[in-house]
Amino acid sequence: MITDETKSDDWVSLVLFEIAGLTFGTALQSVAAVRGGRDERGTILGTPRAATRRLEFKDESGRAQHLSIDAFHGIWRAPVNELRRLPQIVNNSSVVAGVWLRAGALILLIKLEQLQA
Amino acid sequence: MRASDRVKKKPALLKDFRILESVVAAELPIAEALANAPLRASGGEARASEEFFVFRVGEFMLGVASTLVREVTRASSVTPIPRAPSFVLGVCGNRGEVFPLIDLLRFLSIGESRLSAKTRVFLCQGGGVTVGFLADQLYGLRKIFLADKLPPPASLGNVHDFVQAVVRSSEFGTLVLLWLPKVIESARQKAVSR
Repeated sequence: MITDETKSDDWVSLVLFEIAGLTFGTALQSVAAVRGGRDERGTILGTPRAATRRLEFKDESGRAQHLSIDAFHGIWRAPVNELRRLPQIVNNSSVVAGVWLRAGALILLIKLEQLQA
Repeated sequence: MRASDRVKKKPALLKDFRILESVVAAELPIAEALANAPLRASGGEARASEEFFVFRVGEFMLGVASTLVREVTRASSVTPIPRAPSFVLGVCGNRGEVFPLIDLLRFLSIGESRLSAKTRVFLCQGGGVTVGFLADQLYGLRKIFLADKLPPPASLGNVHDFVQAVVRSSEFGTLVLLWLPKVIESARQKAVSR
């Protein structure tokens, strides 16, 4: 949980990936595996162009799902004080947990388990 | 009273003390000056006014209360949000703060803004929320006399609810003054109800 009183030495581990030119992040704990494979089905995050890899995860009901991605950008440790909740006006999507302000760029943090693959 | 006497006198700092004595000698005693002082400001000085931040979006000249505008910035990279309302172009970051970027034309259902190098974003505070609004051109602050405000015409349709007044201006033509807190609150409700 992100609170206003987070300590600067708190970190979270994020998996960064790319779909249709946009970079997204998700909690490392939510990713079961990253595998190769072509599946060009899109989601609300966009339709992958190359679809060279897939993130495997379990949805809320525990069923195995996967998300096709164009690129896997590795696992990053992000300081919690660089994370932000989404503003109320756009905080209507249960899929987007918040953003990571990474060197001036905003990376949307996705709740994989909420994603309808 | 002669016409020349009606010219507004401005306060001045007397720096040359050599002439101070002669100046004071020629002036009215303070009690007499106060006795002659008017009870209230006259003419144009007394006209109540409000300050508005004026901008153009598409072909519309719009104004919002200047007290609500916090900052102006460039439209830097916008991160789109899945399933956000169409009038929310995405979120932007500014000095460690994340704010939604709203296209007023889409919100008011009167068109669609186009992002360009000249596009600017003004940040507004309303209801504890910071929101960025797109503008094609900024004109800055203008004083609007209350007496010049006209009620919004019914022809404004959907926009009517968010308009506090219309002003006929030689500089801008028709200037539409928006209730920005209403816009922000309505945007929030639309987002929640989706």
